[in-house]
Amino acid sequence: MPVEPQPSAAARTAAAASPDEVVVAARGVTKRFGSREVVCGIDFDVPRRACVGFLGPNGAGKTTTIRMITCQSPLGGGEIRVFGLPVGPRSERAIKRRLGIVPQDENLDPDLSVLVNLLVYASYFDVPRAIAVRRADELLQLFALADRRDARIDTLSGGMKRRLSIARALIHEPELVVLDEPTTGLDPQARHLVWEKLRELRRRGTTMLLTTHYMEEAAQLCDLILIVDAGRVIAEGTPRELVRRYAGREVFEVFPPFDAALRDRCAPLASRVEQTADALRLYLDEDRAAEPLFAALAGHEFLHRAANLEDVFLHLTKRDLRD
Amino acid sequence: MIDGGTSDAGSAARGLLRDPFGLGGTTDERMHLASVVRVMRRNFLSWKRFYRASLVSALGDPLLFLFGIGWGLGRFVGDIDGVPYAQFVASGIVASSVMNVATFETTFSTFARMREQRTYEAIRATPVSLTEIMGGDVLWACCKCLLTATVMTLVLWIAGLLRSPWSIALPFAGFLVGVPFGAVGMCVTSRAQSWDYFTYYFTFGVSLMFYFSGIFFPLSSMPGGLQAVAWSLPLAHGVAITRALALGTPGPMVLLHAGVLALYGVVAFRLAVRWMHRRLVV
Repeated sequence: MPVEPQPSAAARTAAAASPDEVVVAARGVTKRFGSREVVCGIDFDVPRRACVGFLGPNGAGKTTTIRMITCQSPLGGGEIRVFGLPVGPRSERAIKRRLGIVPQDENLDPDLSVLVNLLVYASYFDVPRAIAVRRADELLQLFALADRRDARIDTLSGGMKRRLSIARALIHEPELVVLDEPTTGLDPQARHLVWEKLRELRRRGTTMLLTTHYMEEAAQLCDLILIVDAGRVIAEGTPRELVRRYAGREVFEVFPPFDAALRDRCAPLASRVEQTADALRLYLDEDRAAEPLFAALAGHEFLHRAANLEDVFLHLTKRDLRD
Repeated sequence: MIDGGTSDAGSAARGLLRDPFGLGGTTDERMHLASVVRVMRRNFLSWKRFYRASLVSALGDPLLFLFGIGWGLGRFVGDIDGVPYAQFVASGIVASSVMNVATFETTFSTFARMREQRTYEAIRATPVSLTEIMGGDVLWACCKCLLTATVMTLVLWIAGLLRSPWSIALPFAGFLVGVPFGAVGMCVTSRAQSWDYFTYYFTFGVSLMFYFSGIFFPLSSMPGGLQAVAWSLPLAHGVAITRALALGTPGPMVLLHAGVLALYGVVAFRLAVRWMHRRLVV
């Protein structure tokens, strides 16, 4: 794969404006299974060379949306264009030819070796064998699997299988790579290695669409995040924008014991106050200074930190507990 | 596979008139032979690892059965229509063992690929359509039948149980007999919710055909009603073909039998495609 220069933020914005440079355009997308509506009118664009993330809890409709974009599940309602083609039976093959899909649950071929997994997959995309072998070797190198070239799948660790799934999705040099929860179920080391590889792809300018329920993953990898809950997009923006808009700049987390008097004293100094059993959280916008709060909280145990996506997410989804 | 199939069978029959070879995919384009062959090749590569065990089970059973029944029982039965009993049974066993090979492939193996290994899901993420994946599975089942029939032909020839030069065509007959059973197995798999489901088909379909398709005694010795039932099922036609080739009596009827097998294959495959789409494309 050719290494391409990383586009600047400005170039990305400009790209998003041009219709040719929108890889996926979804308008009013819905889907129901029986009487249960799982996707209830989603709109979004995936600009070329961007990494767009669907962030949301389990059951938010992320996977269902992904499956409609990738022509694996029929569109319920609305319209999705991928590479300018409307998804549907007529263009299914043309769209899939240009897509690389990394499924949520690994479905590598257990009877074939690592290399043969890649070669057989390449054949489904009409990639000539000589080219497939060369690309497979490059990808195994890139994903740190070169020494497992002839290994059987069941001898690989979870992280290796995930990396191989990603390599497999790249064997035909797709224009869009779709990853459904790329690091779910991996241990921290394996997760960081996958992130490193995905960042490498991003540097090369690969357009990516991923789903995740890890805030950190979204923050680390995505240019643009759509927060999805109960089948709707409830917020959208770059990680930084989202944090600034919904959580502010910084947070004071005050740990018990604290009383109502302390809260009343601090409330006017913060932009927003949130109290749960385990902490009192004081959010500060750009226009608020932190010093008065340091003074007010003297003698209490507290944590002062930058606001993050988790604050955004919990704020937007109202701290519900879900399965 | 029987439940609620009337309207499906009706529309499958109408579709058959429009598209006699059943090659029309339900996706954007027609079925691509190249994609079908790639799926078949995937199955071959995966089979290569276990081919010894696979061949032993595909050949061991029918051959043990043949030599036990044919030679053991044959001594008491004598000749049938002037044919020694062992030769008579051997010529039919070729068809039934091919039936077993094709049936196992598109029931248990396909079900495993679809559910446990999720190979179907993996391939559906590529430009290869579901219809082509199913076509590849059936084609692979037929290739295994070709291989099984080839080895069986060799063994029977060495054992002196074949008496016609037409026997050289037995492997191709094996391929053809694989078509309806591969396709019908697909129908069963497309409806199967669990492994237990296959038991019904094996007992009331496969075993029934095994005993009542003229392998062990001529169909003409059965009551007329039972004969009609036997001829309505594919194995009787398979046996008629392999027996004609093995004993050297192929006539124009062989083409009729071949036609029935092909028709079974096409109709069953189309039904299976419909049912599988209904199941997986949601």
